[in-house]
Amino acid sequence: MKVRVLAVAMAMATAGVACGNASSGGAAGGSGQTEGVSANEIRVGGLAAITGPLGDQYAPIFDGAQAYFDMVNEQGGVNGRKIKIVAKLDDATDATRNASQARALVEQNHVFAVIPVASPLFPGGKYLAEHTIPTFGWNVNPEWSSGPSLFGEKGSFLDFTGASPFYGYLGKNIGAKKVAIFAYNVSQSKDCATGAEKSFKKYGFDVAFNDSSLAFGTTSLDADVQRVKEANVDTVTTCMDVSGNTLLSKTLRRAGLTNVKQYWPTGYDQEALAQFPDLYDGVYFRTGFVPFEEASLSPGLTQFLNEMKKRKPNTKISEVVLAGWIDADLFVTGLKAAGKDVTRQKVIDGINVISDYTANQIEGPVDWRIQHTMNSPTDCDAYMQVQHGKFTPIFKQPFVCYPHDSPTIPTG
Amino acid sequence: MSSLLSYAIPGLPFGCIYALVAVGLVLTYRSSGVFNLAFGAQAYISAAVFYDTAGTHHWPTWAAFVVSVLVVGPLVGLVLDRLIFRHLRTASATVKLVAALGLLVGVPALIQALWFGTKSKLRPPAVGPTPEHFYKWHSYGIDSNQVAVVVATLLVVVGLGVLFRSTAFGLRMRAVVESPRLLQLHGVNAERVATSAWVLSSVLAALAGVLLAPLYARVDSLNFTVLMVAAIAAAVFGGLRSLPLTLLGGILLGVGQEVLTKYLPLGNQLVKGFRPSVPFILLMLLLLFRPGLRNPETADPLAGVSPPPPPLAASLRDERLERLNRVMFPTFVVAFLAVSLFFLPSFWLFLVTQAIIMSVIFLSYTVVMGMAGQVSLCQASFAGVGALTTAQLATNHGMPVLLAMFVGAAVAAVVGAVVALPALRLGGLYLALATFAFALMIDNLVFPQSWAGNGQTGVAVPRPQLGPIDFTANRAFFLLAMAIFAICALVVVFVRRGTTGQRLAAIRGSEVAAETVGIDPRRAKIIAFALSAAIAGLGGALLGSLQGTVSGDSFTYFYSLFWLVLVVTTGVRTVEGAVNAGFALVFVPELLHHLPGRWANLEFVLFGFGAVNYAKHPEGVVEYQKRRSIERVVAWRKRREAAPAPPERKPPADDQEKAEVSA
Repeated sequence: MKVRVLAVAMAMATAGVACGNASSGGAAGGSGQTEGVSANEIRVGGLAAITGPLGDQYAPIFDGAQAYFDMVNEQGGVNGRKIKIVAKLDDATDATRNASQARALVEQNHVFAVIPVASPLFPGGKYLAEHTIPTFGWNVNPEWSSGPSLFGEKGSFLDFTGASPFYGYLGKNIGAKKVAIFAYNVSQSKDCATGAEKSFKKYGFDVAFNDSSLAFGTTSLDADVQRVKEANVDTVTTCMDVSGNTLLSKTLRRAGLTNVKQYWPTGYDQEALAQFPDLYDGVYFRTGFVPFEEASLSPGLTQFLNEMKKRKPNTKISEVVLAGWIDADLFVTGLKAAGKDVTRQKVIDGINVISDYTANQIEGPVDWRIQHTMNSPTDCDAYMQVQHGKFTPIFKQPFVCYPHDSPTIPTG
Repeated sequence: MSSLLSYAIPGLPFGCIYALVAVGLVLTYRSSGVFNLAFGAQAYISAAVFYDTAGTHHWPTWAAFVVSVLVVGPLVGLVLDRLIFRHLRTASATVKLVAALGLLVGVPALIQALWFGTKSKLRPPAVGPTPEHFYKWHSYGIDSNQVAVVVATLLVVVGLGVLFRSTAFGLRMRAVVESPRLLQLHGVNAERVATSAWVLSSVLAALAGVLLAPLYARVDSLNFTVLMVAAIAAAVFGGLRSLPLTLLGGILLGVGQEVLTKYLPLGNQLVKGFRPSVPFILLMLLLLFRPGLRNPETADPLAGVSPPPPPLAASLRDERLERLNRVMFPTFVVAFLAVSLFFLPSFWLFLVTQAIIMSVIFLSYTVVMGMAGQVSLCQASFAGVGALTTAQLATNHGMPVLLAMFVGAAVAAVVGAVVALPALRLGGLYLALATFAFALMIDNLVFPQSWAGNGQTGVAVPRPQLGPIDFTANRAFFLLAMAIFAICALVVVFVRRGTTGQRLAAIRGSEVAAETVGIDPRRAKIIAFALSAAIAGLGGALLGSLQGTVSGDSFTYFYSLFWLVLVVTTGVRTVEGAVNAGFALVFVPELLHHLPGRWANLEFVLFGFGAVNYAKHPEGVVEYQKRRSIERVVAWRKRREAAPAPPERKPPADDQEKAEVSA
């Protein structure tokens, strides 16, 4: 009997050799292009890492999107249709679950569009791209560039490993000479460190070392800080989260290296600052949108803060909440462009012709004709430094803009 | 030299924490035979209490410390011992390990559900002032929390030294470590000594939890689990026996890790994975090469004899039930296929397919644990190896997917056989630890590489095609998954009935006894591991193809732990148990997501505590209930048949024989 089973297995295996692979994404779409749309309602659904160790970093994206839809619905909706978030699914920060929840939104909840999405893992993006579902969310995953129907809040393409001009601009303006880079031994973090090293070298800075061998959840950076000391490094830049960043700051302080300048790519967050005022002190930050502290310079951001205060007074304002708001704004922009006989394709096409989307001057221009698979030709960044326990905008306000491929240190 | 010192000194506080945890592990292991993998969960409880009292409610530090370390700590130890581990004193090492694993998975989720919540708890307060004070000594800096760690460790060392050397209680504790049986012959209640050891070790866990928490930016239960590995390495360094050596091991490890960093080149891709893996690699090396670990329980050859497991529920059916089953089972399968293919909406079909695939993976536990009686904590890694091999071969090397799946399974089998090599010389517990270390090494060294898991991005896995049959459509893929599941299930059933299964059953009962009748336990164990890894790998490959992309994130060490407690709950000895586990994994969260947020992890609580039940029902709760109901039906029918005549009781052994003959 055993032999027979083995024979079956072998037969199946050899049959497999004889033929090719099925092409992926064959059974796409289906007929229901206007699924989720009725005469007076558009049903959408979102997906976030609501539970899991980092849940509260992602879940609030729903509040931003909901506030925007409430505002639009109060004004009568889009073409007479109100937008309703009918499902808020949780992937529990689990890759497999993220993939099945993305399906659930489309096949079970029959939503017209998936909005908002925020999760550290987004394998579901591939399915949504294959089925050309309009999808809007916080672009922190490589899957966002899987297809023209996926829209991140700041463009869909993430280029971690390429050179970025902002390292040069920031480095020059804070007087950096010798730099050290810290990253985790996980792909995105490592890629970010590669990009940072490339950038600093391109613009003529001395990179003392790039340590991307740190364990996620490391408890000790003492040896690294000892290296910083021995190499006379004056500036450190990280590709880590709040745990690694605050640990680095603490370790630098302990070693007496208080004058070493720090740049953190993440952590522009009031709540974290309130918890770690000592460790945030003096650290440099950068955002691609107008900082909350400079809201008066942007009508869109002013409106966002006012509406949030009115509709979601308990939500703490953060980057992810703003991402939810921008996502909702972009979706509504697409809906308006699609007109009365709305289809998924019309919404997608309506957005993909826009060349300078700024969410009403909240962020630097996004060119949706190219930014699914390419960098923006122009980067706009806002810079801040924590001074006296506050994020304080520095340099040109609200933005400094420069060409992405700038061969020399951009002057802004 | 001073340069070397400046690397070594910061390692000291970490070494102290490793040492504290390791001493706690050794204490409970020697006194009650439990290798307490739930130690990290205990530490988490006290860290949570300390966060809530000192942080959220601004209690004075000393009061929060007293409550979380000196009240909650011993209480947790007492509760665990009284409710669970006291009943396991005579159980096998496997049973104790599984109970501890269940707690490791279940307790943190329970704490979150009860009151702590799942929200991030930023900046855990330190025993010293927050923010920390910094002190300077020559050119070396140290902060107040690190001072607290070193002082606490010194106090514990002195305290334990005095306790063990100068008190009667300490003497008894040392005696129980040497031999509980001898101690009881002297009229000492070894039971009570073991309980005290649990309380003492739980205080150490609490202390470690409170001291550890501020090293991280947030309180997170996973931090405590991973940190345990370094402590386990220290405990193994001490041979799971010597407390002074264990302390030394912890401190050496803490200091060594820092000093090593000085000499590691940073540019090398492999080094990047190597550095976070140092504790895991060290643990593996210690397990493999530390003298004195060989045959740890040889003192009493009968100690390792497990009573034969209860017969499978299915074998208890009487003739009529058996006949009924012959009709019902095919009907059920046909009905299941028909409903799945023709009535289920596509999303539910997707979920059912996922459940079937998970059942394939869970069959691997049936082989390695149900049949061979080995605790493997790296089954998810095997599944990952199969999945990623398939993905790489199919996507980057143009191999047909179906063939790639079987190659993936074969590669997983080879990896499984290699992992089983330590099994040749190590018994249950050490093997489990080795597989744990292996899973963490795979997570850090292999999955992130572009030639393997390609980090978070993952690798695409197309759906297969077989001649004219295209498995892209969900229905076709469902049938493929069913077919592969059926093949794997048949293989498992035939292996169990065949020579290998009988040999494994003999080894499971007593390795010494099996060897005396000429069975080679090494060969049997390697076969079991290889077969189990192959099945897991095939399941992993199917899962990847179902999803379209696969990355290492779906196969990290935590899944190995969670899947194990899940299968153990539903039944690790039967195909049915694996199927139940597969469906539970997919559908229980679907049911639970209607509950409020902090209950979201209820599945971990359910299955974690379900696994604690393993001691009582090693066949699994579901299998146990099934056996009981069959027994009841059979008994009821007998009573009815015998109703006119005076009731006649047959010994149950009779039924078994009959059932076996009819089978």
